[in-house]
Order: sequence, then structure tokens, then C-alpha cells
Amino acid sequence: MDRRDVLKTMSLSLGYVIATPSLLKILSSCETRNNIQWKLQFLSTSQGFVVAHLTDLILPSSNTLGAKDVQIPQFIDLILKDLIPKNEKEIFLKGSLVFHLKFKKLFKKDVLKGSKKEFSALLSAYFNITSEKQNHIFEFLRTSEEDIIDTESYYIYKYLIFIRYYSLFGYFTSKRVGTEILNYDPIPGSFEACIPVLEVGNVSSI
Amino acid sequence: MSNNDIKHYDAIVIGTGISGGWAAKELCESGLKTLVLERGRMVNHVVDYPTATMDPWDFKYRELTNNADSKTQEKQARTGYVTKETSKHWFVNDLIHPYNEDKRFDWIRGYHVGGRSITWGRQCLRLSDLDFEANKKENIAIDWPIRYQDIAPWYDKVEEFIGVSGEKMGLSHFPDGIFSPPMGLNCVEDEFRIKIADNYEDRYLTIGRFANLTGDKTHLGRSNCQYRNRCIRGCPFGAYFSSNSSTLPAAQRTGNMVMRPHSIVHRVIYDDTLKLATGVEVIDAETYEKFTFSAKVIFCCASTIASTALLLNSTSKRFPNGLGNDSGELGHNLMDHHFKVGATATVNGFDDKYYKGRRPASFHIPRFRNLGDEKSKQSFLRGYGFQGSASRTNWKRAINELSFGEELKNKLFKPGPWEIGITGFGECLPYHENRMYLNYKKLDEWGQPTIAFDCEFKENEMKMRKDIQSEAIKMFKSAGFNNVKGYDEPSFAGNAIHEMGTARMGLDPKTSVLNKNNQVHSVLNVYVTDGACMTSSAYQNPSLTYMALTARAVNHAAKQIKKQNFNNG
Repeated sequence: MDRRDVLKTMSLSLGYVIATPSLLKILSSCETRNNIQWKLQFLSTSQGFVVAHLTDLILPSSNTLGAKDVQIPQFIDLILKDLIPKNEKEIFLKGSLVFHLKFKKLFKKDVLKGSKKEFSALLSAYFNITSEKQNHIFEFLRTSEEDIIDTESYYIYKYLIFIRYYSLFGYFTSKRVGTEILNYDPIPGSFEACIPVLEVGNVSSI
Repeated sequence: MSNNDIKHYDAIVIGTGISGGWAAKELCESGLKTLVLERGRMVNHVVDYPTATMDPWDFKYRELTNNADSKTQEKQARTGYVTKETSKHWFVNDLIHPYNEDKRFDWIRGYHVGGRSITWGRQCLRLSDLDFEANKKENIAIDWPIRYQDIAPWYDKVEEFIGVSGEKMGLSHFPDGIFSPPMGLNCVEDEFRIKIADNYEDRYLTIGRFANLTGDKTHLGRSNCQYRNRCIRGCPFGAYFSSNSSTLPAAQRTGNMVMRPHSIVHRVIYDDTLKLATGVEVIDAETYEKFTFSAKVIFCCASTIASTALLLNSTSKRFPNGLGNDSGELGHNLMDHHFKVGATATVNGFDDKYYKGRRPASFHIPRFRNLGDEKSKQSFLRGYGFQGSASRTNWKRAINELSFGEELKNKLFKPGPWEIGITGFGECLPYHENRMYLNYKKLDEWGQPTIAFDCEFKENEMKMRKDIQSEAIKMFKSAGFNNVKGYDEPSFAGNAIHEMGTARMGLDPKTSVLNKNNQVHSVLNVYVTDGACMTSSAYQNPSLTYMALTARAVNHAAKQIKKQNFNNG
């Protein structure tokens, strides 16, 4: 990303620009195309970098909004800090670690140097499976942590499904998606029990 | 003059929830100077509903519960819904207001003016003689001292004032009331209604009877339902009934009400010479100061648990086990409805249909078991009704898959397939051993004993649950729905937030606490008109009955005062 763009984004989001260590870090990492433009609260830089890539793959920007347009990586960082119970946080971190290691093994480089294409390849390896296998995975994840033999798959799927779930949750409860894309009707005033779906269009946001 | 300076009133009402609000209104409208005591903070209609018009994105955590809050509301959170960012402020901090459990009991409540009338489910179902006669016919516990005809005119009065929308059915065990136009059933719900009518002779589906305004009748200061379905947050339109929107303003208008929030009533004062109560002792929740207020008549409307705790704590030489507890039944026969059992299904077709507006009401299938004939007789006693709804799914339908990318995004913008779900609400029998009591070893911040629960659902309820699940599955299957799945989640007493029965009404002072007018048998100027008075639980959502009994009891009390029967000053 262009340094000037980063500065512009920073000043928009903070209202001012100061040369804090985290800002310098972001600027110095522009060469590796760092996608983190906010102050991380829970995730490390590399964890945030990977989460941002994955949310972008799950809900990409196109002619409609994508995950990054409605700050999903920031939302996931926030809820990990304030909402997610300790044991689930630990599972998330284990999953993140295993996923990073997988990436390194496969592409022979650090995740911070990873490209969209590479993350897409790795995510597809886990998500592009038959619906039968998907059901098997959800069944497998209901097993309690202590009884797991294949811990690698367990933690990776827990991690990826967590990111997928909160990407969807954050996206569909965001203001821009809720008011610009979905059907937003804060005060309906009446209840029409059965009408043609064409009259309404998209699903209701609230 | 501050309200601490006036010490003498005609009447005192303890509690401002659904019963207390009605007691306040009726007493004030009878011309009686009434002091209304509430242990929690003031909540003014509209201005004190902080989340009423907020959208998901207006909340920092998009309505989810955060870790800091969940630590203070662990017991309230057992409901799964009340501690969300939208409504957590209506429920107590469990660390400040602890209670004890010999067996798990979910005591879900809020301390503020309006109480749970702000957050109630708004379903208004009358009891019938099938309910009032059941204990006697089956020789269970004790007989109710009243019958349907005693309460029917009071149901009328309450429904007319609060506004209930619904459909008349003409079923004797599910009495009709005074209704404004019913809300509509969506096309899948209507399909289910038709299928039930085709497949069963003994059951019907109707829209629930809800205290949300529809139609053209005027209710002062309130307007019709706007179909936002955010009732639990407090309604800025006053479209559903609550003490704050309706009864308390009515009481205020008379000029006869003095409202005192932050007032913990811990004792009813009894005079053994007069054989009457003379007043109450109050602790100011904020300053810890103590006050005494006196009145000719006292209405206990603090809730099933809190009113009974107050009576249990009001000991004297005459009543060593609690005021009016000659029978030993005070605190016993605790009941709640059991639920969280039923079925879900998906429904094919209707892809070109949708609805507009968010209806704050479910459909209802009235009780069809044990109606007194041979055909409906079961291996368990009493019965249950179903509540449910159908809707088109949103993005959540994609939770249990691994799809991703633009195609997923575009798919989820559109309404998904239809799904339908129903849950049974079942009657719980009154068991003497299901009880609450006071623990004097563990005191709260105000030096008051904490409450302990020893209550559970038993064999009859468990048998009924099996039937609920299998009938739910059968009804969906016979309607031709797909992916029919039954469920039976653990249902703990208290979780339906319909607790009742701890100071039951009865004919005999030896086996009951209250008489047919809701007076304490042995202290006639003390009335208990909240859920504590219930002799059986029936299956119906109970608030309407508390309101009707309260209005009826106030009418009785006002007559006694006129006849100077309560001269205690």
C-alpha cells in the first residue's frame, strides 16, 4: 500500500497523526503489504495480518461491500479481547499457531510475507470439501477438547470456523450492510403477514 | 414536603410490577391515598428506555454479552437472552443480589419501577374452570377458593384497559376475552393452521393473545404497535402494556399516589391486639436509613418470591414462622412452567412469499390433553399448550457450512428457506416439598436474609414432556414439513419466569395462606395478589390472572375500608 494512503487512513480514523511506535511499525511494514491499519487490541501483528486476509477471502469486496469495508478484522480483534471466554480464546490461539505453521511449511516463508493467493490456497484446502465431509467436520468439532486425537485439524477448524462465523456476524450486523444492502425498516408501522418477496427484495437487517 | 414526611396512608403497595401497578391504579382510583414502594430505581416511561431505538450496530458488541457483564449476571444469563446489551439493565446484578440453591432455580428479575412488566412476554391467556377445578377433581394439593365466574368480570376489566389483541375461539377451556384485532399469521403459519385443522379434530392453531395495541380503541398516552419487536427494551410508543406505560400514569393522574423508589420493605408490622397489620418497615436502598410507614391496608405485590420472603421475615410472637403462616404452607408449593421442549422443521415452497414488519407475537395451540373427556385422557395429569412461529431464515442459515467468497455473500442478502418451531409450555403440579425459605446465616448488603430454593420438576412433568415432544413431531410430520427434529432441553424451575404458588389461596386457613379475596387468612388487611397466590399453575402464561385478581382484591379492600373494617390507627 502507498504510504500516503496509509497516512490518509490513519488520519481519518484517528483524527490526527502522531509518530507512535505502532504507527512506525505499520509504515515500515508497508513493503510486506501489511493489511493492518488500526491498533490491535488482542491479536499480534502476524495474527491480525492473517485474520484480515481470511476475512477478506470469506467476504470479499466486489460490487458490494466486503469484510474489510465494514471493519471485520477490527471487530474480531475486539470481541476476542472483551467477549470470548478464556478457554475459547486459548483454542483460537492454538488454531492460529497451527495455521501459521502450516503456512510456513507449505510456502516456506513467514505469514507476514504471505499473499492473498497463498492464503486462498490454504483456506480452500480446508473449506472446499464435499458437504458430507463438512458435516463430518462439524460433528468432529462437537467432541470435547480432551478426547481429540487429531489435534491439528481440530484447532485449525475451530480457528477457521470462528473467523468465518464472526465475519458473517459482524458483516450482517454492521451499519453499512444493514442499511445500504439489506432491507432496513426501523419502524414498519404495520404487519403484512404474507406478501410477494419481490415487494421486499433483500432479507431484513433487524 | 418530601415523601418521607408523610407517614400515614390509606394504603401501601409493595412492588411496582404487573400486580403492583394494578394495585396502585385501582387503590388510587378508589380515592385512597396510596404509598407505592419500590426497592429499585425510578424508571420513567419512554425517557428511561436507553436502548429502545438502537440498532445492532449502535451497540459496541452488536448486542452480545461481554465478559465483564456476564460475571455480574451469571444467574440472569441462564435465560440465554436477558443479559444482552439490549436489555441487561432490566435485570439484577447477581453479585449484589445473591440467592442460594439447594437445587438449581433460575430466579430472573429486575429491581426498578415497573419490574418485569417492562420485559414480560405479554401473552394474555385466561384460566378456565378446567384449571380452577382440577386440584379438587384430582385430589391434588387443595382446591382453589374461586371459580371462573368469580374472576371473569375482572379479566374483562383488565383486558379492556391494557388492550389485548387476539382471536376468539369459542373453546370453553380456553375462554375468549375482549380482544382488539388479531395480528396476522404468515403464509407458512397459516399453512400449518390449515393442516392441523385437516389432521386433528381436537386442536387448533391461533395467533397468540398479546398485550400489544391494535385496532382503533383509545388508550391514553399509548399508540398502536409499530411492529418493531423490541418490546423487551421498553416501548417509546407505549404500544404494549407495562406498569410504566399504563397503570402507574393512571394512578399518578388521580393525585392520590406517592411513589417512593429505593425502598426495601423488609417487615410488615403486626398488632396482636387489633389482629391487623399497621404498616411496614423500610430500608432506603441508597442511604440505609430506616423508615416506618403506616396504612389501613397493605398490598404485597413484590413478586411470588419477594412477597413471600417479606411475610416469612415478618415474625412476631403471634406469628413465629412468618406473618399469616399458621398453615405452615408459606414458601411451599413453588411452581413454574416447564418448557424448552418441542420440535423444529423446514418448510418447502413459499419461496415467493415474505412478510413486512416484525410481529411481536407467536402463534398458539391451546391445550388439548386431559380436557375431561375419555378421548383426551393421558397417563399424566393436566396439560400444555404450544407457542411457536415460522420465518424465513437470514444469514444464520450459513453457520453450519464452510462456504465462502462472493457467491456466499450474494446468497445471504436474500431471504432463505422457511423454518418453523414450536415449544410446549406445561403445567407443573403444586408439590409441598418444592419450596423457598430464608437463610439468616447469609445476609445481603442491607442485612436482610437471603432466599434459598429447593424446587424441581417431577415425574408428572417429565411424562408430559415426552408427550409434548412426540406430539410436536407428529404435527409437523403430518403437515408435510421437512427435516422435522424434536428437542428436549433441560428445563429448570424459574427459567420460564412464571414462578408462583408460595402463599396459596384456599378455603381452609389450616392448609392455605390466603382466602378467596387474596387476604391473609389471619391478618385481613394484608393482601397478596402477585403470583404467590396461585393454588395451581395451569399451563397459561399467568400475568393476566395476577392483574385480574389484583383488581378484584382492591375492589374488596376498598369496600372494607369504607365499612371501617380495617381501623388500625
